[in-house]
Amino acid sequence: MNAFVIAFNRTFRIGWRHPLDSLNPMAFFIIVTSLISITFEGGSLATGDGLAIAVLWVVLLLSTMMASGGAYAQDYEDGSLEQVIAQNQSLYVSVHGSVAARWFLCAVPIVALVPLGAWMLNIDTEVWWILFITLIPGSIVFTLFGVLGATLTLGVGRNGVLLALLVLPLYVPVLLLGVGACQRSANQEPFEFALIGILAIAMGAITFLPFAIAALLRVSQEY
Amino acid sequence: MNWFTRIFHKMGSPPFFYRGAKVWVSWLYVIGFVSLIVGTVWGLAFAPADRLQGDSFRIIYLHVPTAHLSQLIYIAIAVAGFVYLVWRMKMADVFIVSAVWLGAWLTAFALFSGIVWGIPTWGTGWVWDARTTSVLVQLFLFLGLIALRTAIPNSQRGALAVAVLAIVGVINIPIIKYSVDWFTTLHQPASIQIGNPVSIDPSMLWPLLVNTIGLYALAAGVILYYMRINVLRRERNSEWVRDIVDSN
Amino acid sequence: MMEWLEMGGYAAYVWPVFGIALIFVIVVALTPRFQHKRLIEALRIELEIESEN
Repeated sequence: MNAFVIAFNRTFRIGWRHPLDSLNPMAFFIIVTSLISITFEGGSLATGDGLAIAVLWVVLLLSTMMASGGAYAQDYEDGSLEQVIAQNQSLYVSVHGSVAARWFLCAVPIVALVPLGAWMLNIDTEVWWILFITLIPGSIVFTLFGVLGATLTLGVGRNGVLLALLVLPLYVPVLLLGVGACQRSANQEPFEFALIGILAIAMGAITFLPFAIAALLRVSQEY
Repeated sequence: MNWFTRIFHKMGSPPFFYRGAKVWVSWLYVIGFVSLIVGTVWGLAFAPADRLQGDSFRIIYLHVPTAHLSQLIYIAIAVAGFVYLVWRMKMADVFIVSAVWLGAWLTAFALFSGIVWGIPTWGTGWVWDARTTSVLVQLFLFLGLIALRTAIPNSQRGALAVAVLAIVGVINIPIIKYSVDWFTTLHQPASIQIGNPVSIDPSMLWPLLVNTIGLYALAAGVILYYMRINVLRRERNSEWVRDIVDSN
Repeated sequence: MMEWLEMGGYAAYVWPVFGIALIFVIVVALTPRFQHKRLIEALRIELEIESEN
């Protein structure tokens, strides 16, 4: 538990000192949502909530990916990652703490903007609660895969496009289940399966992905 | 079990592999080309036309083998990634590097032939169903593997990164299939059923079998050939490579 | 023969797929051969430079 707290505090404090890393993706989210809203004739999505929900999910996915894609980059460059790896007996637990902090820094602020985005895209307020219920586990998965992508590309300069290429295909199941759940809820249809599916994927990702991230961090010091 | 472990270790020895694989490549090329020619001519000229789809069904003789093989290569890459993660066996990484391009091309061809086949058969080239979506994502995953391997020149780190990505991707594909199945039940009526004919006449099946064997053999030959090249490239500073270069 | 080439009206679908497959198979099968030769050539040049020094 100690390693978790140490890593959480560390990551959170560093993130706190670089607020733009969190604010830029938020601005990106707002800008893209408004661009889409403008182009759909002043925000009147004629096809109903289905398309607007899909748009909102994709924009959120991109923003979260951008935000979490910077994980460990700072630590890698200033060499403190080496110390973290050398000190920590249980890197797995430490990765958990770091990812949790990363989620608070990168995903939670964007999820908090979802009501604004939903309002801009004219999504029925009755759907908002299901948006939140699916987006909370969904954003955890997005963050985990984003951090995985970030550790895969550590030390690769200008890794934005590469990160997207690696990570976006992995987002497909959660995206489909999440958008499907919200759309079905908007149509008053059953959506429990998707909710269970997202939760199951989130549990699996929380359990197994930190192993992969830790393994990648261990070799990141080799040149 | 003893002979197995011995071969396993010997295959891990680069000079043994380089010399031993040469014969295999030639044989696989011969088997592959002969079967592909026989199967394709048989399928195009001698197999009867399908009762419902007419002659357009002949695309099956290329589409199904490439689609299956591309999936098999992806799974094999993930297995090799696992082998690399657990035993750090260098030949596993050599296999991944050698197979990934072929896998990407085969996936692209499977998609292309599927689209061309779909236009006359279902009236649409593309439907977002579980199979097409997972094959498309498989192509993206292949491209990701290629991009990642090229971006990290360091062989140990790059190998580990590619192994991890391959394993995560292979777990992802069945999940995608399930989620698309669930997702599309809302959007699409079941009027379009994409799938192989359930019962297929043996006179149509034989060319498919021959072509499949041919494609598998040729692909195995090409992958082995690339593995030989990559082994040579990686061991360029060792004594046995000098001997080979001198003798050539 | 003409009847066969028409493929029951599906010539525009069947032949492009098989044509591209033919090019694909030839390119894929022959590329490693060239790469192998080029690599051995490059290694030989490396060796010669090394032996001169």
